[in-house]
Amino acid sequence: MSENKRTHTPLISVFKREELPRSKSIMIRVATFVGSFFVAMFLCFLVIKENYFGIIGTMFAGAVIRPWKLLMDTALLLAFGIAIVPAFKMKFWNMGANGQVLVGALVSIVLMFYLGDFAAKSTINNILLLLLMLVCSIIASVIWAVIPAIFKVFFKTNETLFTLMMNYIAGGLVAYVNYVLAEGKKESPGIVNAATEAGWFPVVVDKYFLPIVIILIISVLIYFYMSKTKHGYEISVVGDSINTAKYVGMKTGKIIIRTLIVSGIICGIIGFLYSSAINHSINQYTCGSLGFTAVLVAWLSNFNPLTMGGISFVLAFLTNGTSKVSSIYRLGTNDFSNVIIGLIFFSILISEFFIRFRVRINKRNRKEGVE
Amino acid sequence: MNLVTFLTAAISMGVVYLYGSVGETIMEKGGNLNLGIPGIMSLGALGGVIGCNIYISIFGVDNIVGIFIILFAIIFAFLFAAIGGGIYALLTVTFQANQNVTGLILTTFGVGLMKFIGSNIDQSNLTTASRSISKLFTNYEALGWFGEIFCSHGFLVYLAFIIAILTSVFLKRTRKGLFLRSIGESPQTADAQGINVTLYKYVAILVGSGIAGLGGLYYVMDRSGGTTFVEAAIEAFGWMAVALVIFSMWKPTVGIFGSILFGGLYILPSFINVSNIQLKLFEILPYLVTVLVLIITSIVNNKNSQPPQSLGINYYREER
Repeated sequence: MSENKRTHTPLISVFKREELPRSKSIMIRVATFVGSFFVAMFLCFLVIKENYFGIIGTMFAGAVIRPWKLLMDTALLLAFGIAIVPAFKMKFWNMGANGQVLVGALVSIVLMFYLGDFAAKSTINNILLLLLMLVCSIIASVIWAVIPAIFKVFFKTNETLFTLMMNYIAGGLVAYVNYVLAEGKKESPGIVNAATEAGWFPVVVDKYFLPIVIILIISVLIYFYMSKTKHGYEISVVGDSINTAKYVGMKTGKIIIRTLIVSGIICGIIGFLYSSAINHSINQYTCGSLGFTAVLVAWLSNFNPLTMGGISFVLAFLTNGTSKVSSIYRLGTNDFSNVIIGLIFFSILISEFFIRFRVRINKRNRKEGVE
Repeated sequence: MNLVTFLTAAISMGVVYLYGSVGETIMEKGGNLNLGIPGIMSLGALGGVIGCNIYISIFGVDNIVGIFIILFAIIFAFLFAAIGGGIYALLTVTFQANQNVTGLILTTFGVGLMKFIGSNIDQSNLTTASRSISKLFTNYEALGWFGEIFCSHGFLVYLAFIIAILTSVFLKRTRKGLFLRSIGESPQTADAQGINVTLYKYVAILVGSGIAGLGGLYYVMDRSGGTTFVEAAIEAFGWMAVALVIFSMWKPTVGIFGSILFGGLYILPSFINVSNIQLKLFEILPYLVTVLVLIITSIVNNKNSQPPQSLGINYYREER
């Protein structure tokens, strides 16, 4: 017995698991989500103190009452996720999707503003303007995305903080240019070309239909880019081990910069869509915190575009639903949904642990040999 | 431009960043990159306001004694922020979750919670409470410019400087500080030396978060006079605090000067004659400077200005 005491067994041992079967890991995730959702709703019930199921009902009704908005929000979140995934797979933490999209949208708005009269003259002119907006938006976003990448490659500058700061610089630029466009009289010119609709995207089925389709097409393209092309393969090698990539003769610097150009292109398209199709106006908060939320989406989906679509939908659903709950039950702002989303994400992160690790509780007075 | 008022205001603004960056430095020295600082500072602000309200509900609004209400506010701000940090520690240290992702969620959660609860909280007495929090000394005018710059602040300003200096001493001159730094450089080696890595990381994160939370309290209850609670731009300040850690090269004493510089850049536009339009450009300045500093420190690549080696990487003991 005294021998036994010396070899102290910890109360809890943690082991790395072999890969869990896919079905089982999905089940754990779904169960966690559903569980944490009802817990979060229960907290919500404690705050509101009305019928529990009534709140959940409001939540669901609020989410689906404007189906196009729900789909658009899903698509936007997916688009942001798609934009950062290539870089992420390379372990390049691009926290600056917001800024990259903002500068693209800003350039589009400026072009819309100054070339509106030209575009209003004929359909051809309008198409020309739209093309110009798209191209310039992409160029602006690519520049914004590539600057941190260049410094990362040449000087190992920390990209997480660099891209983060670029968000605020972009936001400041937006506020400044808005002011200039409004000739210093107002904060912003508001909706640009509201009368002529010059530089506006054509509306098919619904205002949101074409943007959603475009985002879906981009997502499919990026999926193939990542999984079927040499570029995609190189990205995953650099992400797994940058040294391996160097040994086999890959030019890692070139790959990093090239990948951020791809990110920039996608952000440019999103920015263009914001200005031409979704908002027709811009301010510092146009993207909300989509760039950050997309980081979570990309991470939790393990960079799988299909899963990303699913998670984006769930998040858009939650955001729309909880914002309805906040307005019906007078909870003030929309921030309530961030609390709910935060809680659910915390639970999901914990469940990730149990998917990756096995936990065993060791009974202290277990007799030896009985395992 | 009046240099004295400018410096005074720069110090007073900089303290918001200083709290956040000292807290983050402690965590980063232990190898934890916490991007939840904006959320933690928001939680601190929320806790501080709740603390003030509790004090007022116990003792009444007519019986506000500066030092006691500050004590209440500090305890609650520290507690709330440390709870936020506790979530982060639990997830990243025990449950091995990715640090960046966890931090971002904490930011979403903390900022959301502050604004949500904040918009439903009684704010009617906050300005009164703030008046007794934001001044420590009386009759400082008698000391001229010196009094204005150094003695016109509230208790929390001096506390920030004291904490920064103590943290610096702790990290550089004490055994425990050395242990913490060694964990940040290489948790494997530290563990082999018999240092309790998990315990150190937990304590560093909890204390660091608590300190960062005081920045939120300070901004709401002192700097902005208890008026701009819900719409407070704490999120942006939080990111600046994270940037200040890099600017100060993980040295809290350098952080003191850095914070005054950052604060000065933030308030500069209101001291020079610029139009409203130019003002918008000036608002970009602190971020631009941070980017420049990031670039310069990475180009110089000095051994003393580098982040801890294991920053951002979780330590899993069985994987050696």
